[in-house]
Amino acid sequence: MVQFHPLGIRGSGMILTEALLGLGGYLANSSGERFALKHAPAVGERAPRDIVARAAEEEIVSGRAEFVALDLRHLDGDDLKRRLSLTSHVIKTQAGVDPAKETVPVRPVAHRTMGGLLVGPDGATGVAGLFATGGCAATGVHGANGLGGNWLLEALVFGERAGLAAAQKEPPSAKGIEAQLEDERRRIAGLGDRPAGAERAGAIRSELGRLMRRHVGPLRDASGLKEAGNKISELSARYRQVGITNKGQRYNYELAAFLELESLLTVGGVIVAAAGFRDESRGAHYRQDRPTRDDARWLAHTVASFRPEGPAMTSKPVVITKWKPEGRRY
Amino acid sequence: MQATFKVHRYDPEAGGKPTSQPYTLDLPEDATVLDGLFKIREELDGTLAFRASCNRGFCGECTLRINRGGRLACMTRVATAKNKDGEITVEPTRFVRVLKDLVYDVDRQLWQKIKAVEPWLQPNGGVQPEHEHIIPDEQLRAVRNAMKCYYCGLCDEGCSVIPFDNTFLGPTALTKAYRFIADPRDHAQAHRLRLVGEPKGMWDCVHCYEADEHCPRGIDPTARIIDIREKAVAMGVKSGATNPQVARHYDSFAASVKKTGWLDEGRLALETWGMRRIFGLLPVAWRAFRRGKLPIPYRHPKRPGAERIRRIFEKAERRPS
Repeated sequence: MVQFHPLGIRGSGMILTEALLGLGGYLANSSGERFALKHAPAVGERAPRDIVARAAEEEIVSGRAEFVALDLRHLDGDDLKRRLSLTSHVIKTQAGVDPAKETVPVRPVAHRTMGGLLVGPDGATGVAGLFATGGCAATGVHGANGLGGNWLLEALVFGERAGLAAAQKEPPSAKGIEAQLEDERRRIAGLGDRPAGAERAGAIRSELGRLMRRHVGPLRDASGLKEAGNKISELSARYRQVGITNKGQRYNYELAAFLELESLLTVGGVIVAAAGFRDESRGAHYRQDRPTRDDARWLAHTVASFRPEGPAMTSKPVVITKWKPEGRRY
Repeated sequence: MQATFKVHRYDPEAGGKPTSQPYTLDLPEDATVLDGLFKIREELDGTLAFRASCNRGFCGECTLRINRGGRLACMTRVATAKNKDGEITVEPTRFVRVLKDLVYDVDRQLWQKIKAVEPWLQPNGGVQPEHEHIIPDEQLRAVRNAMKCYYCGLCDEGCSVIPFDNTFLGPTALTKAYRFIADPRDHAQAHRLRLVGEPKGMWDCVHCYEADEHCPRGIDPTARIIDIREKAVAMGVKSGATNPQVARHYDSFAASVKKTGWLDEGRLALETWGMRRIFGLLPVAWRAFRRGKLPIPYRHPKRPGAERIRRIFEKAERRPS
């Protein structure tokens, strides 16, 4: 799952700290209404990240706006500068506004992943000898809604476990690894022989970004996800027409972009398939056509496996010990 | 908006000479130079190499020379940077070993110099403290400011000394040294001051303040260099924090101004270098003599108002430092 952060700043999309909301900042729509209060009457903008991000996205979609307004004008500007000097600097340089006089244009942006390579409690993946931890791994500690700071804890706790486990494990045969490396070297060297195709990696990557933003953001539904899936197939077909003009071995960023794009298309396809597979709403994943949480069917991890024709989806039950899921009321 | 990027190209693999290649492209009004470079690489020429990471002035990776001045490409707007013919010159920084096009050897230029100042905390001889070491906010404010440095190397690029001597540690590394010298948890101050007091260290800075002009983080590296110089002089020769010549130079300078109201350069040279080493300065003296800058016989009379200057000194000396 992908977590969305409500405070992506105009321009770069860089996120501003939610401490701005904690200190009393407001979010307002184009008519000046504090829309978060509609979704969380008791806490407003201090509601969990997913609720605030979703509320902001709804205002943007329904109001045909590009941004919502982060209003800090009623706060003590000097105090803000003292406590959050870096953030104040970012607001000035990135959005180009003076938060004492104007509102700051923000919108929800993709933030962190909750999930990744399927690992056991010691970080072991399905590939012998490969361990993963942190943001690229699915340890399961974040559920569907990671809390700020927990990614660091995850990296510390599971990083140690994975490191110790890897150190104790008999290393896989160097010969096997060398052979795989040689295969990969040959594959990458072969890419240079591709004919200069009609497509460019940069254009496909930009389109993929816009597509994910439109259909796989904080608000999703079956038809949008279906369209996204079809478009990703189209983009993948176009990807095969991308040529590489740079034949150099040194600082070949064109080759790097080409290889990265393949991963982006693969992971993008997994995110779309998983969002379509999970026909309920939970945490950061929100389906407008299935707006409620379905604990009877979906107290489960989504598991995607690689297949040449596209990701195969299954689920794995969540083991619940102490903390039972409850209703969310704010 | 149309702009022509004149980009430094060099490919050691191809063995060619460095050239400047023009690319003309259409960009949005608010585009940055980095946006332009990405557009060139993605749409016009996949062979162009440059480094970039955060794209928003937070990492210091895209330090380049833009129109012959050190800038971050991501923080430089094309609209304001281009000249009246719509041209922008983009080059690596000066005095670096270019690896390809706009990619240069940061290790040699920057990291080796930073490593030389031992950029790690050296606490009290490994003695385990009994409780957490809590430092008052005021004490850490200066350190925190220096910690904002992300090693973009722009201050080194602007430095007036490096063009003449690339072995000068430079403002980036000296700011890093300051960061530990000023840290109340560090116990290697005297050692550190000795380290940066070596030739090619802090005393080679000419305080032109270009570093402060170039720093995108508001750290003022020149002021930090002056801070560590003052610390070295305050800790003195006995502790080995500063080298004796520098201390003698300071003392002689002050003594001559205190006595006569102005600087006695002959005495300064003699007292700084000592009787034996002053003969090394004879060629300088000879050149000065030939240009009429060395009056013979050498006299150093008191300036009018010298008494007032002496009183200022005495007042300052009475004040606790």
